[in-house]
Amino acid sequence: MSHKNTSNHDTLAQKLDAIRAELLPFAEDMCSLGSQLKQQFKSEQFIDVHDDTTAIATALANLRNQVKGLNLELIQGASDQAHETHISQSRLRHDLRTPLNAVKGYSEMLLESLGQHGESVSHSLLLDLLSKTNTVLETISTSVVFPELESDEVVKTHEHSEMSSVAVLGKILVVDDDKSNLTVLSRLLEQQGHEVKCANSGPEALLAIRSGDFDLVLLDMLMPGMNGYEVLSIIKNDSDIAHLPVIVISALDEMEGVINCIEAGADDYLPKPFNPTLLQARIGTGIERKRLRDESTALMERMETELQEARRAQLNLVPHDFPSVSNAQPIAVHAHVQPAREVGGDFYDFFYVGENHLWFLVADVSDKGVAAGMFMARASSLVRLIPMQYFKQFGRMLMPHEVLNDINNELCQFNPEMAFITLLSGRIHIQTGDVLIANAGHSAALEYSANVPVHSLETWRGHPLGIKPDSEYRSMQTTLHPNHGLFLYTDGVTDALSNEEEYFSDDRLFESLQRLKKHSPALVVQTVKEALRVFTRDAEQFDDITLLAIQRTQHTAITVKEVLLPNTLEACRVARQELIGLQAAHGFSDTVCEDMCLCADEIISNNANFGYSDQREHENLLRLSVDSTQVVLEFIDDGSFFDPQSAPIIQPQHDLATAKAGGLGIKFVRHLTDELHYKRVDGKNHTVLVKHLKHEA
Amino acid sequence: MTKVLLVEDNEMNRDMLSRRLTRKGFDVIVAIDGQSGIDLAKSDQPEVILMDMSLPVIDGWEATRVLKADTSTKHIPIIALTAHAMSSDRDKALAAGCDDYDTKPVELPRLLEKMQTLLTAESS
Amino acid sequence: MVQEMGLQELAFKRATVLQVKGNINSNNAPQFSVRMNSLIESGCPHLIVDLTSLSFMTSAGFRALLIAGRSATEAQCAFSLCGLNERVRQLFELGGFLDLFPIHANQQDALIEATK
Repeated sequence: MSHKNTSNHDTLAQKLDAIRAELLPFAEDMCSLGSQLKQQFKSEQFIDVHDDTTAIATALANLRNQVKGLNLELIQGASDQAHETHISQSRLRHDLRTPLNAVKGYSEMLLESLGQHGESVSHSLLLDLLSKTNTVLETISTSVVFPELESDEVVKTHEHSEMSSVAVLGKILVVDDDKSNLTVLSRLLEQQGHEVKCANSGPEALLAIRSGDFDLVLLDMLMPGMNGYEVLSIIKNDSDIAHLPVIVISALDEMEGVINCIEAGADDYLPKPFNPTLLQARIGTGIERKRLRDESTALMERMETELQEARRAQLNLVPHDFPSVSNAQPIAVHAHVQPAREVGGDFYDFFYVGENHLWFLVADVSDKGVAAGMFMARASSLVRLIPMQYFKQFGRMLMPHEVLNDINNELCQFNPEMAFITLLSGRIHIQTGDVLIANAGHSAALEYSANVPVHSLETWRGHPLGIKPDSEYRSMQTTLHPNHGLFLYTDGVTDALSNEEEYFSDDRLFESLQRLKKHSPALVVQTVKEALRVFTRDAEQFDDITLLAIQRTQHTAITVKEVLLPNTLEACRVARQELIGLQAAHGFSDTVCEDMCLCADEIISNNANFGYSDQREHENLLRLSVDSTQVVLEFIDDGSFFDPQSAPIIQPQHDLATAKAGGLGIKFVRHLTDELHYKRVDGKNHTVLVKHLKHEA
Repeated sequence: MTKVLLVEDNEMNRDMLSRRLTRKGFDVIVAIDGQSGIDLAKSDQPEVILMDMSLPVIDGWEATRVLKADTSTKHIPIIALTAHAMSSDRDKALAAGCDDYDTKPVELPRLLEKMQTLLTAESS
Repeated sequence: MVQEMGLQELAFKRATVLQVKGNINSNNAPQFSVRMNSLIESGCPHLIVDLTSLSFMTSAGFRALLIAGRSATEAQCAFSLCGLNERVRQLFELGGFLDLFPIHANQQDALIEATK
């Protein structure tokens, strides 16, 4: 301890250099994230938020400049006085936190604007930026702490306490109703170098604890009103402050009370009268324990954040955009994966190879968690790449078992842990319905339809992938008839446990598929998910759960008509006339026609009233199609971003003069359509309304 | 609608917070320094004031003292906002007459809760 | 068949009934609104909007009803609705409109209420 006043400048300069070195990489990183965000929003054409992304980028540039420029001025401002150092520290924190306030505020506001339109790149960029903002804030509060410059007074105190050379120092709250005890204890502790605050009663102590950041509490047991035991119980039952170490103080004849306190969560006790050495040792241990606890909590939090990021990254590895059915692609797919932990080992995939072959698969990696997640990432890219590359380079459509052979041999390499994957993979010719399926140790696929009972498609079952090189796999051939569907799943479904420790089982799965009246894959997946939820209720999910359904749809006599619409309310009239014309030609019911007229009116008037800030005329498109099963309206407009699926419902009850986009009409639309789809493509809203035609037998 | 006066000199932070509060249904008026904050508080009688503490000309500490000494404004609750994040700021703000205190960056839900508490206390 | 809107007034001593036919949408809601407001401004003591023959009504129609209800209160004109068929009632329920207006089963009930 040989600080001299003359060295204070140097100390401060070093400290500033350290802070700059620590913060600059963050600032640079966030700056580039900011401009990425701006570009992204521009490309996704969220026109009305462009200014906010600019604000974020500007604030980040400010932050970087602050960090870069942190040196001379501050040092010149600081004199040798400890007091001045305090002011510089405060100002530096202020200057760094001010741009962060803007970044955080604007980002949260943009997130709100995006609403449930999650999964987008902008969305994850914003989350990333917010988490980095938090990291920097933490760094500021832990690192922008200037060394207490030694003043004469402080030096003197240290001379007094010779035995404190290796002391662990901290901020201590002393609670005692006896003034003289308080004085004695606080003086003793201050001499040892601790920072001390006093409280005269239980309530006062609790108030101080909740508003200050203490490292340790010394608590007298016998106090009038609220006694030490009661204060302790309150502390230990409040999760915000329960981590604070408490040492109870008691006279030697109160041992029973001491035992009660230890049982209630006190960390240690000290007998009265105080022995300075004992006091210092116990307090040192207590503070040290809290530091370790704080560190491990911070570590846990960091790991938690990283796991969440990993989870997001992993969920992005599988497709979430389910193609809509058309004449060209008369096949519907839907899937769902739900990891038991943050990161899972299950996955599904589907993708086209060439125009007519849809490949699909579900897979289950042995074990769960991060290691399984990495193995999954390796496998999932192979399973997509192999058939695609073969087709692209050699024009050859592989058979599913050939793909399994390749993946198996690849995964058998570099696999000392003997991780393995069970996988069911197939391809379907979307026009003929010809299916080939190969199985590597997985549960068989189920076939379902309105006409025949649910049954499993037994296949030759090979070994799981990754265990035995050159293992044999075979493809099985079958045909999927129109309106028939395939259901693939992982054993997390059938092995799901209820609170009563019963398995969901094949029987329940078959039963929920059998009960279905409608068979669209989205509905099948939804139904099984719901059946699982009801069955397991709040029981812990042990295994990852994956579902995938595929159905061939039969479309007969599709009529498609396209009309151009102005961006005025006149468009509502045109849409109505078109629907009436369509009804006359196809004879669907008045109810369907009226519901569609109502919904079209709401979506189109919403666009006319709120979609544009300019006064120009715009031309939008309405596509109407009808077949034996459904009426579909597709409205494509270049108005501002509006997703009817996530738009807020505004209760119009009282404030009707200020009608806004969303509102009551959207509630009607959500209720009256059977399906509602939305996407934003090339700066245009694509809103699809579907009404199913129910045929009474 | 509850009328809020936001006194904040930093343009971006002023724009950001006033818009976020407007979204939450507040009627927001803004001032960019201590003196215009005092003037607006007197003329517009907001129901709550959010006061940044490091302001040009008259700083937030001083403005708070003036407002709390004036009979026409002393009933208006003031929440101090500072980015210094020093533990002594809180005591200093309360000593100057602020009714509550919060740090920047603003955690909106926490700030709204504090505003709500003060507004409820005031109306009862 | 989707019918165009038709409005017809029936004047009684203590009340005027406005019968609505067909559907109310973004295009004809202004006309509906104007008609209700002119009846209210003409000083009729009680306006009953009869929705028996209404096939559907978009949110624009609901807004017209809310505005008319407010003008009626200001003009001290009683304002009530009657004859909600099942589908129209469903729309009222979805929008939370059922308790915003006095609603009667049919025109007769509404008239009895008006003469009390």
